[in-house]
Amino acid sequence: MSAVFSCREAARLASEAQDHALPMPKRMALRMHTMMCAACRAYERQIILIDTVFCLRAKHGKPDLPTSEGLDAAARERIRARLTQGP
Amino acid sequence: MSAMPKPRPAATNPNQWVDTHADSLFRYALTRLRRREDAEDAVQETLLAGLQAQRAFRGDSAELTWLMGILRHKIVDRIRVAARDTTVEALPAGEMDEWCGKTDRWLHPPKSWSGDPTRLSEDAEFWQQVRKCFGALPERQAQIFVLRTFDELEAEDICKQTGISATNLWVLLHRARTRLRACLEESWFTPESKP
Repeated sequence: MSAVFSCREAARLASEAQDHALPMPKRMALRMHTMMCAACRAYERQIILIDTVFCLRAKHGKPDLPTSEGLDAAARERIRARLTQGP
Repeated sequence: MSAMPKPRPAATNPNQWVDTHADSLFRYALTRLRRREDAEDAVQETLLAGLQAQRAFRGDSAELTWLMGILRHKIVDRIRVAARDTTVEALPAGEMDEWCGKTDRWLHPPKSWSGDPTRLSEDAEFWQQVRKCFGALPERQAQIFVLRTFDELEAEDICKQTGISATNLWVLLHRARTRLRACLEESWFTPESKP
């Protein structure tokens, strides 16, 4: 088995590594690849950055994306009326 | 032996929930469900369920956090129902455009850029751009990515709660990350190199 695999495989594994512990041989092969390949190295760092930025926003009490839309008056009234009827 | 029952903390009157919590719940739901009507329905269902379960609220968490937990369960339920019939084959081939034919090389190799996570997380303009890129993701990818990041669920827990297999989950997350990364590269991190 070659330790060098395609960028496609490396990118897939770089993402998978964020979600579960890769088995040792795959982890080593990924590290070998990213050492030699600037594009996949950038990919790995950048997806980690994006995941982290999302987590940080949630930690600041905003687990959502900004929106200009709010709950409008009609929906508010409808929900209020429904709640008054009880569960 | 039995411990003293905890005094029930005074929860706010459910009559005020629409005023105090509905907007936060709506934003939370809109991020995950995207369609305004679906988000409104989810908020109503959540507040009704909250009303019904009010006795179960022990005040261990803030009331809004508790209601958001109920809402998250409702959203996960929807994902589970929708995912039931989906097989790997049925997943859209969202990453194909990243790869150069049979060579498995990058068609557009990621450029070299970086950012400060803390500063970005507080940058309102950046989040406006994220919202655009996020909106271009297929719905399932977007929902799963948010469960993993905003909701901070472990991959294993997402699988358990949604019934999506681990392999499919990794594929969905990989595609979401690949698309978000490419979109933000082009629109935010290296906009000057745009053709």
